Amino acid sequence: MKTVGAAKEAAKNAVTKFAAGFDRFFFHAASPGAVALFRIFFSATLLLNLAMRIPHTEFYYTDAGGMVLEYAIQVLPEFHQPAFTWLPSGYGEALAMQILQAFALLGLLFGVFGRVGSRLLALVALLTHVALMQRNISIVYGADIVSTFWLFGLVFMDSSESISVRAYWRDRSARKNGVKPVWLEPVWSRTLTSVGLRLSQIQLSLIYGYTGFEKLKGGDWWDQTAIWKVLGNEQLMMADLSFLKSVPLIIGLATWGTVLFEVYAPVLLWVRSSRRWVIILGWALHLGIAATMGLFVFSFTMMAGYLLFLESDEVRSLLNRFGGKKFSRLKQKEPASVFTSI
Amino acid sequence: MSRDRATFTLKVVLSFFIVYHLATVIILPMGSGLLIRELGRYFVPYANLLQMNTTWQFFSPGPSPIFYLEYTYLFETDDGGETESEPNLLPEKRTGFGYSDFYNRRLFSMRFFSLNEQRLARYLVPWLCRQNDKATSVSVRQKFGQIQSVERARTDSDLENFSDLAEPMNFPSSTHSCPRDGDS
Repeated sequence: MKTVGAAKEAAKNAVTKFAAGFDRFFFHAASPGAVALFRIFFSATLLLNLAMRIPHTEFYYTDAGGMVLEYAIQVLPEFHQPAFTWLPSGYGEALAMQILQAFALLGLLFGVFGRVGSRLLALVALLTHVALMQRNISIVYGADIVSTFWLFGLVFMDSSESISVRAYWRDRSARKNGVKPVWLEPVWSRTLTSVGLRLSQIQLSLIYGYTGFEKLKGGDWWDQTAIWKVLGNEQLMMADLSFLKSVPLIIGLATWGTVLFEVYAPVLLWVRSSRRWVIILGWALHLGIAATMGLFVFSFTMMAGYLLFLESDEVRSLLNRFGGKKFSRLKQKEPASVFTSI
Repeated sequence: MSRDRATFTLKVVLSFFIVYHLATVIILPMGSGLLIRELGRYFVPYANLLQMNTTWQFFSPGPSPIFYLEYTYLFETDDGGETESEPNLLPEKRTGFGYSDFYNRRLFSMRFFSLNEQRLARYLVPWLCRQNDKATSVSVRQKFGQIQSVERARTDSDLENFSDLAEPMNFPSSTHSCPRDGDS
C-alpha cells in the first residue's frame, strides 16, 4: 500500500513539476526589445515582398495569369484544400487586399497602436496574406509560407511595447509630467505575447529541423556538391561564381556546413551558450543566399525569426552598438514592464 | 470571476491550443507518413485554413535542376494542313544575371503546373492557348538542365562558360488540343 501511495505522490509531483515548467516556458517568456526588432524587421520585409507583387496584381491574382478563379482551390490536392476561403474574386478586390495589408504592415512597422490594435493589425495582415495565397498558390514560395507563421505569431504578441511610436509617446508624456515611465502590462496581454514568442521560436526550429532532415535524404548533400548544383543554375544565380570549381573544398565545406547547421541549429538555438553563434551563423547563411541567389525576401524573412531568440540584454547591447544616439537614448528610457492582473 | 481565476482559465485554454497547434505544425510537415495517415484528419482543416499545411523542403532533398517548359503552337492552314510556331520557353531564358521576383514567381508557377500531368493539361494548356487564339493545339515538353560535376567542369575545356555547365535533358513532347468556345 505504501508503495502505491509513494508512486501516486511521485506521479503527482511529476505532473506539478511539468505544469510549472510548461507555465514558465509558455506563459512567462518576455523580451519586448526582441519582439520589437522582429516586428520591425519582418514587417519591412513583408512590405518589400508585397511591393514587388503589387505591380503584377493582374497577372498574379486574376484569370489573366493562368490561375482561373474557379480552379484556385480545386488545383490543390484534397489534402491541402481549405474548408473556407476568402480569396479575392477580381482585380479590384486583390488590389484592395494588398493595400489594406500594406497599411496594416506600416502600422506594425512603426508600432502605432496599442496592445489590442497591434494584434488586430497583425490579424488583418494575416487574413489578407492568406487570402492572396489562396487565390494563387502556384506563385507562393518559401518567403510567403514562413510569413504566414510569423504573422500568426504576431497576432498573439503585443509587439509595439518597445521601439515604437507608441513607446515614444508614452515616454514623452511621462517626461512632460515629470514622472518615470511605467508600463502597466496586463497579465492577459503578457501571457499572449509569451505564447506568440514561443510558438514562433519553436516554428523556426521546426523549419530548420525538417529541411535539414530532408537534405539528409538527398545524394547531392551527402556528396557535398549540392551548392555546386545551385552555383551552376542559370535560373537562380545573381552572378557567375563558377570559378569556385577551382576550389572545390569551399563548395564541399559550404554544402556540408549547411546540412550540419540545419540539423543542429534547432537544438543549439535553445542552449544559451551556443545561441549567439547560431544566430550569427544563421544570418550569415541567409545573407549568403541573398547575395548569391538574390532571394532577399526569403532570407530576410528567415533572419527575422532569429531576432526572437535575443534576450533583453542582447537587444540593449545591439542597440547601443548599431542603433546610434537615437536608439541608445530610446533604450535608456525603456521602462521596466510591470505585470498587472487581468 | 476573480482575476486569478480568469488568468487560470486563460492559461488552461491557451495550453490546449498550444498543444493542438504544436501537434499540427510538427505532424503535418512529415508529408505522407503513418502518423499523418492516422492523425492528419484532426489537424488538416485547421492548418489548411491558414495555409500552414506545408512540408519544409528548401533545396531538399536536393537543389532543383534548371527547368523550362518548351511550348509550340500548332495552327491549321486553309488547305487543311498544319504549321507550327517557333518553340517558346516558359519562363523565358534570362539574359545575363540579376534578380527579378516576377521571374522567380513565374518559374515557381510553371513548376507547380508542369510537374503534374493533370494540372498541365487542365490548367496550363488552356492558358497557353488563350495567349494565341489562332492556335488549334499546343505541344509542350519539359526541358531540364543537369549541372555537370565539379570535377568535369574543372577538367573539360568545353565547360569554360557558365552557360555550358548544364547538360540539357529534353523530355518527350505531348500535344494538347486547344479548348474551343463552349468546351469545358
